Amino acid sequence: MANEFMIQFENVSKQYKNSQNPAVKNLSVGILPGEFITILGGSGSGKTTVLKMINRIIEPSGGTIFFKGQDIMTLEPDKLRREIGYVIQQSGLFPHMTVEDNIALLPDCLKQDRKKTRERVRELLRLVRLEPGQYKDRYPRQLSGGQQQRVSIARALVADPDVMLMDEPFGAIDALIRIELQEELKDIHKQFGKTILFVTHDVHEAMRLGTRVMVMKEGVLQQFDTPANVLLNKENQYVADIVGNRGEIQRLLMLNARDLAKPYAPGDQGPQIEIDAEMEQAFDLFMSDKNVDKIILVENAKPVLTLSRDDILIKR
Amino acid sequence: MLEYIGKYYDQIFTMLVDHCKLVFVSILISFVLAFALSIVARRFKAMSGVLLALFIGVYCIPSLALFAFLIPFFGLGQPTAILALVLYNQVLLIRSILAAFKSVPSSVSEAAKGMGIGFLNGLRKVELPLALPAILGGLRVATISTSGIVTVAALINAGGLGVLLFDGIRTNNFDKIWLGVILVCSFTLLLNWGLSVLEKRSLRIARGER
Repeated sequence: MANEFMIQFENVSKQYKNSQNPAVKNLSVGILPGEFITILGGSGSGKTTVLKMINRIIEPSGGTIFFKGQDIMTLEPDKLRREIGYVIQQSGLFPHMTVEDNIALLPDCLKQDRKKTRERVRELLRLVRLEPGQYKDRYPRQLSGGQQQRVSIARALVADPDVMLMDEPFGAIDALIRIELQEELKDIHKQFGKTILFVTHDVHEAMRLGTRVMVMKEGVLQQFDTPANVLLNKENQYVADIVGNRGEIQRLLMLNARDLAKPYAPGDQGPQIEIDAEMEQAFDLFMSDKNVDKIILVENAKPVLTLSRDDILIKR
Repeated sequence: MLEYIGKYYDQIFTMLVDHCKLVFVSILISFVLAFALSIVARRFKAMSGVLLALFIGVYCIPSLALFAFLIPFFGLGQPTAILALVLYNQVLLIRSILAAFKSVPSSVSEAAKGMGIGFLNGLRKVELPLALPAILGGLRVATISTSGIVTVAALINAGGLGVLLFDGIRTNNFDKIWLGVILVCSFTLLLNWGLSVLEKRSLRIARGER
């Protein structure tokens, strides 16, 4: 059973020495390969602790964490960490190394072929949309905050890990650039099918990025579900609070169109939008033309999902 | 004074060489020991307090008293002098090495750790280059202090420029005293200058301003 999960928490707790309450309490969740999990919570919710226990930056005080079916405490920490990319808020770039050396540090330490590594660095820089010729010899202080995080993501990807842990990576980036980085991260996730765990305190970010959202409060998991179900949940008062006391339509607007769509059935007809479109775009279409009952979500020009007017405006 | 130098230049040269030797050897041993102790203290936090308390205690002992205390065990001469200097330097060096590592941003250390490059690689390639400017700053202070204290070692037959000073005092020979002072000061200032050049250079490297 444990083997189908990429990462599994079994009754995991963390009690820090100088604190009364546990930072994480009896957490049991399974994360499937390829999921993009956002961990949402305020400060002191234990969200970062959950993340850092996976690569043993923090050691759990109780319970078991499995990585690909193996108890992580039985694995050698450095070996485990090499299979997990790690991106943190203040980028953690090494200020005394060029962009290229930052990204190449792990393969260089493992004495891998230098030429291949340099080629890999170029490939990764292009992936995070930094022109290698222009950026590889720069030092971190010569980069903007957004560019630093791009390099940090490239560095985390260098060993082609199956899992990426990201601790509020875009927390200190201004709004416009943040949205750009979020979109690119989504693309990277889609392109490579990595399993991503992403800590954030930003509701929009959690909803926009996650395939599932873990909502944490005071070390206890409140809800672990799709963005749609978290947003529309009315039973859990805490979830309602963190999501905000907005009207339902405004909550819906935080979702992507696909979150409430159903599989496309032959015969469905209506205007087409891209599969990644935000809910706002679908709303605009429904609002601007009363005759539109269905919107077709297409991927590579192929219809994949259907979003019905009923799904978002009437049925709840 | 010039007359004196002309007459005894070979003896003065020997004293200068002894002085250099004492300073370099004791700084080298001090640094290696302090670095090793600091690395251990970083891993076992409780140890740093114990070590610092111990060596602050040692540092409080006046140099003559410490020499007197060590002579019954190690005799007169350079080894005893070097041992005393190494003991004195520990508190200066351990403190500055620990502070230097603490000054490395935690996000940087954590990123290195999270990569899985291992403790030694993390130390050698990431933390040490960033801590180096502050470590060299501490080393500079320790070197200056050593070059001063080493003159007292002349009293226990360890040689060095202190011989000039004490001879001068004993025989009321001001030329000797002045010569000793000028040589010790110039030597110390030279070391200070050399180390501060290294320190500045390491700072530029740590900031990525090569």
